[in-house]
Amino acid sequence: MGRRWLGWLGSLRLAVVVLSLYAVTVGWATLVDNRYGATAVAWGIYRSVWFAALNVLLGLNVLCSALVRFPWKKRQIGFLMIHTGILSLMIGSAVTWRGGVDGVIGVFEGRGASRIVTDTRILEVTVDGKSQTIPLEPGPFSWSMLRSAGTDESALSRFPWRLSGNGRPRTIFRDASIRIELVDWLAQVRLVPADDAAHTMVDLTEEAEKTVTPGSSGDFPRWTVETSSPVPVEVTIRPVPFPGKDATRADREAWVDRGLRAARLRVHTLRDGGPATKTSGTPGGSGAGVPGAENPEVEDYWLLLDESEAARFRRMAGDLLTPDVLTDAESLEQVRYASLLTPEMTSQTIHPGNRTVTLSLRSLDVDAGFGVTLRRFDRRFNPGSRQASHYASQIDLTEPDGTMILADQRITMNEPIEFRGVRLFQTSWRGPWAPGHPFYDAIEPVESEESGLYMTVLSANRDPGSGWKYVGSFLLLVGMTIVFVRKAGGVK
Amino acid sequence: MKRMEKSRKYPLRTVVMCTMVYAMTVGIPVTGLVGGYPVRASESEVAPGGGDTGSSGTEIAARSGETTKRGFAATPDWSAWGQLPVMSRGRIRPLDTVARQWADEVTDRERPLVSPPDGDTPEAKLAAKILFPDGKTRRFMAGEILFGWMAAPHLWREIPVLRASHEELRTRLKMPLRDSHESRYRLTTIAEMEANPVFRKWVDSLAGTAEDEVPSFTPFVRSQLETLYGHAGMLYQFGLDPSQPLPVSDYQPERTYHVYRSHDRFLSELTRTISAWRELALNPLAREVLELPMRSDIGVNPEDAENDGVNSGGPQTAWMATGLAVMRLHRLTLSSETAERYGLKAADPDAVLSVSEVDASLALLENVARQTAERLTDARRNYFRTLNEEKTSGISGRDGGSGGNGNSDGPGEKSERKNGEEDGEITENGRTGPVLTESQLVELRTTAYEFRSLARYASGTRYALTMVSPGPAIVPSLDLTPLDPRRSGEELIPVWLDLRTVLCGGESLLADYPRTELVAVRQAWRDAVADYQTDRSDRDARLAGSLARLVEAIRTFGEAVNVKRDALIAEQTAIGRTMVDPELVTMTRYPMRSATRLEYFYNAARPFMITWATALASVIFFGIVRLVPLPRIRRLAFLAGCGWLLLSVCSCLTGFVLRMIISRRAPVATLFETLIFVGFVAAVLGLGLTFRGLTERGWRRAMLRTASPLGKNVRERLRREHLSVRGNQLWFVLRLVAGVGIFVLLSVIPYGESGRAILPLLPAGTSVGRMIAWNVGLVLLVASVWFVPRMIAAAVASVGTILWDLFHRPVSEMIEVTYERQIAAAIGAVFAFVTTFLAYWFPETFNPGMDRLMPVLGDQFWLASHVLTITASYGAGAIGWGLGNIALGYYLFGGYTSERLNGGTVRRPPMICETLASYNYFSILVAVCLLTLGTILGALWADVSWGRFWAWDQKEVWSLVTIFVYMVILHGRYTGWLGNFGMAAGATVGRRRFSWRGSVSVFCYPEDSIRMRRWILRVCGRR
Repeated sequence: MGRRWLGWLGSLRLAVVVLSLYAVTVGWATLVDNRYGATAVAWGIYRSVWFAALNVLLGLNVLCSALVRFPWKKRQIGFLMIHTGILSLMIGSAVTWRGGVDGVIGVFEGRGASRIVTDTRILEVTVDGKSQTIPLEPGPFSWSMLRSAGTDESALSRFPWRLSGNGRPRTIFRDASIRIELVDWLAQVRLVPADDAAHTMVDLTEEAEKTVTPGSSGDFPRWTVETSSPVPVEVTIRPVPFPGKDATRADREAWVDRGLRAARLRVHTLRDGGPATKTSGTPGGSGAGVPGAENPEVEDYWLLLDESEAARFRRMAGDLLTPDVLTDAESLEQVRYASLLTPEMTSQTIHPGNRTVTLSLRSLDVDAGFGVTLRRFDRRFNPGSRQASHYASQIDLTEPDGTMILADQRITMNEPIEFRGVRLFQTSWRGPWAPGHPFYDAIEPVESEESGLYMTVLSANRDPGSGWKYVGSFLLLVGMTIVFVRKAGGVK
Repeated sequence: MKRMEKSRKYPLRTVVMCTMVYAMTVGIPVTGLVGGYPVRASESEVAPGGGDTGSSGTEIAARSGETTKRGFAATPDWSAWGQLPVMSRGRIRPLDTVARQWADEVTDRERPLVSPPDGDTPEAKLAAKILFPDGKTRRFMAGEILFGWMAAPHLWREIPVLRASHEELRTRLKMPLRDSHESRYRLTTIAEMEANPVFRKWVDSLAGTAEDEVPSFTPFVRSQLETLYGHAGMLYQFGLDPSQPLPVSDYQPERTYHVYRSHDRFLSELTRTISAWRELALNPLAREVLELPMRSDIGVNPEDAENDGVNSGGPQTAWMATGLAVMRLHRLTLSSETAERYGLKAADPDAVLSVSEVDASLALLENVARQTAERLTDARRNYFRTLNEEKTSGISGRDGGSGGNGNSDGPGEKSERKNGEEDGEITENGRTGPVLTESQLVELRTTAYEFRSLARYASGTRYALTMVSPGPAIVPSLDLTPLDPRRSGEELIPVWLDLRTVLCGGESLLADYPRTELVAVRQAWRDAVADYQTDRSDRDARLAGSLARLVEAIRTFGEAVNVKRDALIAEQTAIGRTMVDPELVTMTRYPMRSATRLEYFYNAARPFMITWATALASVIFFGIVRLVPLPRIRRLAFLAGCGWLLLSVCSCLTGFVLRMIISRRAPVATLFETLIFVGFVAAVLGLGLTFRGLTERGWRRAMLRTASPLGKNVRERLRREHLSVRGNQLWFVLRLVAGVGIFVLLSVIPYGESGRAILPLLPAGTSVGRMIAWNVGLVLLVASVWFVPRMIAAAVASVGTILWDLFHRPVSEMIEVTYERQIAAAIGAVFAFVTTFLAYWFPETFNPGMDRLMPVLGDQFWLASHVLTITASYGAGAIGWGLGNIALGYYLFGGYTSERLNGGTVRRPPMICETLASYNYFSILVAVCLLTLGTILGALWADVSWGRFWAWDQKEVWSLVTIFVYMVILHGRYTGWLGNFGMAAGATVGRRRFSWRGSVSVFCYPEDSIRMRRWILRVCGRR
């Protein structure tokens, strides 16, 4: 029986079917990619449950096709190498997917950095001092869009987005007395004045001093923004509609790739411990539930996450740049890097049933385990043009406490270095900022000579699967060669 | 019964399947493209190319006719001029290359066919006489037109060189469509455009000075007009002589029209400079410094001061001098109305400033700014030095400020300034020197930087004054700013001086350049210009001589600049004032005499044109093989076809080698090269398949003879063939030597910037993954050291053994053996022709320029191995596709046979299908192996170079899809689901659809890929 199943799993017929299926799927995926962008397709297909299942099926097929031929004969060596190679590659990819870290480190000249800023979003829930982080993969679209996908009014086509297994309401915390659910996700929101539905953007960056007080009522939360102007502005969030099928690719990618996101969390207080008391943070929407013994109390909260270029830059800059400096830079109109979110909007503390729960939504950054100090950033243009032909960072690698380990290392395009399991690649740069620019004046010590200040952007990744991949590639290369020599020799 | 069979030649099932396969091969690309690449409808309509596709087919025919129809009339020898080294887009090229690109843009041809002027003006008559000695239309070298426009623009005003071929455009401009011989007008002249009222009105509307209503144009005509206007502007720029005085105010329509872009650039630079100065003037610190007494070498030209008549003794401070200079310069940026309002125009209707005046003012500004910046920097440095000295030596008294800086020329000024600012505060620890707060220090630094920027802007403006943008840059510049590895890139200081600047740049700008050589260049230019315009009988000889002298003078000048620049770099680096990038310095040196010769030869030889022409000949002969029913003629045509194809392959190879040497990078990296390479591989593989019958025995023998060390089998076989083992032992020694060589190459010689070898002997990191990767590298190293020499040896030996084998076979047999496989060579020829022809004739889509690549593609090892493998696999896939299609044809239209078997009738497809299937299998095998290898290499490259092995981006996905489709075919063959028919069908689907899409274009310039898509859309749309 087992033998029969093994034979079926390893059969050529299954291989042909799976390969065709795979080819059609990924081919289709590129069409989706063209229409909705790389982020969308990665989330909806490549990281979906069913695609993983297809991969597993392919892997099983490859594995079983090798197993059923046991004991192997000498002439099957090429075949075996190719099939183990493919398996090894697949395992490597899976290992990378599970345990890899991929992000960027931004370092100013003369300064150090040690945190890898990734694109992974996490939700941090702290209940009574005990904290737990939940990785989120909510997808690039608002969940309401996913629900209406395929209907006529939807901007998303009839693509089975929901099959991906991502992007569904789910419980993120539960114990005897409370249950917290992530009920909705808005992929793109904008802050607009509460009374004006005309979608005028509120530029919170204009004023240096602002305080944001959460308000309540309505479907979407309200905040009061106090600026130096006499009248405080009340703002609410409003989802930005997806550009639609006919929009340009650039528009759609812009929609996906930057801006504010919002998560709606629903807190159920299960045991009747009296009405929830709130000291800071206010429910965004009115809960549907009625407090009572059988109906638990239900309240909704909104959390905002800033994924703009500004936010990314601010995270890379760490605490080197104070909000004041960022605002100054903003006012210079040279760099729009300043960020507009205040901590109150990304995290909230609530007290359901006399418990203390802190919720916060942010992008993950990881400690690299060592420090990178940038000595100098060099950039070469092709002579007589402004096309960069080469750029390089001269860095020191240090312990987290600043003790030097490796001095004066050079990272250039195509010449990464590896240190403690992390590979550092030259990706891009920011700047140069000239003297007189707030960034420059904030970063450069007074003694330094005047010349532009750069920030190098190194991509940093930790790839535990790379060994598998290399072995797999090697086996595949050699196996292919062997098979080719054998087969081509046989053809007249 | 037999009759019945004949009437239905093929079973219904086959017809249906064939139809489906064809529907897929044609349908998928179209729907895939339309669905896949969301090009907006408007975009494809507006695309300028979209309009003239209708005529492109006929144009190609016309063009290919032209190239053979007329040769060159007798002209002077332009080769020296064509080989003049010119810095263009990051590389030193011969002037010929630049001129060709330019001519292709303006006239639509690299070597346009130009008819003589028919005007009555004396210039037109002279031009007709000296440029068209036999009065007929003739072909011009691009370099000749360039020289003509630079030297004597008045002669070229009535010679048609401007492309204006579109009928709609000509109709709107009320220009004649056809000449007296009913052939279409393609070109027009500057004079004609200037006289054209519609065009004139449109230009006026651009300047905002149109008096009456401007006619409205469709977007297409407007874009054509803009192109025409741009080209006219380009011609004007070549003819523009910057040494003519500049009017004090600009934006008069005529002037705008004449100078178009270059002047604009000067004005924008000037505006930037002036506003930078103004901003500094508002800064109290800057102003204070500027009001200090100036140093004597600041370079105020006493003449300028006199001209302004403000102060006969000359301005006393930098503040006043720069203020006057800026006032003078400012007049150039005023619009005519503003100038009038200020009374400038009324008072001085013809007010002009000469280039040297403008340059002197800018030079003054630049020098003042630079020196002030240095003053401020020195002050800062001294301040910190003093601070440090005091820190180390305790409280040592007051001398610290002025002591210990002998080379600094302004300690006095510095302390004076500080005192002025700080009034000598006394700190708690009793120090008597001035103490600056942090914000003051920051201000000091900022101001210094602003002065430096001002200096850079002023310097850029000085160059912009004479630098007419498309003019050739001919010698290295002595300005070291562009060599700074940390330059911000916003300044417009050229790295090489262009010809106009050398010829008429301001005196102070060129003051540092070697004087005698500079004068010699100017004199040689004047001579050449005079000889160009003369109508003496010995014009050609004289002109050739003076051109050679001009080029030689430029060379002497360039070499002198080299020496001077090296000295300057050494001096500046020694005092630590400038940082230069040594690699940039080498890249921008004036090159050796022979540097541009090869590229000039490449341009002239046009190897890829030879490639498609010979491939075309080969296709024709293979067509004869198919169509002519005479066996003897068929055999002859077959041989001729193979010969031409061989020639085509050789010229293509030559072309690639030349490009590789010229551009110094891996050969197949742009869309142009990729496309040609696919055809090349198809041709090579086609030839290889065809000649396999001849080479196989020889190759086997070569493998046998080079086998070493000798195993039992080999000894046995050698004994059977009565061969000695001595030769094999000799090979073994050679193999060892070659193995060592390869070892050194791969693991010892440093590669890339970090100095690591390709396959290093020590691991690059300590993680498990790294260690495994390192081990894999070691295994690869051992494998290559062992097997590569063997392959090389066998390849070398095979030349001998194959020939030896051929000598021992009858010719007729050899012909038969190859002839029966001729189909592969025929397909190869078709592909070689089609790809090269397309690449050659669509330079807008497939840019043939040898420009630099994006920095991520800088890794030559990976680039070469990955791209060559992938493109080779496309070539193999192309052969498979061709074979598959032919097999399908046989399935559809070939004669089926039927035979009785076990009581039933079995219908058999044509015999040839079996043979085709075998070739098809082979080419698919090659394709899939190469494609897999290439994809894996690509993934490894991505992992090594930018840290991700596989990211599901489009090109990766499509190569994966292609691999899978081929895998389905290969696996399906084993399951028995796909017979030979299925193979044939699969090969057409696999190749046709999946391989090219997205894969190729990503490695080329992004604009290439966009153009490629548009082009594909156009072609598909027309089909």
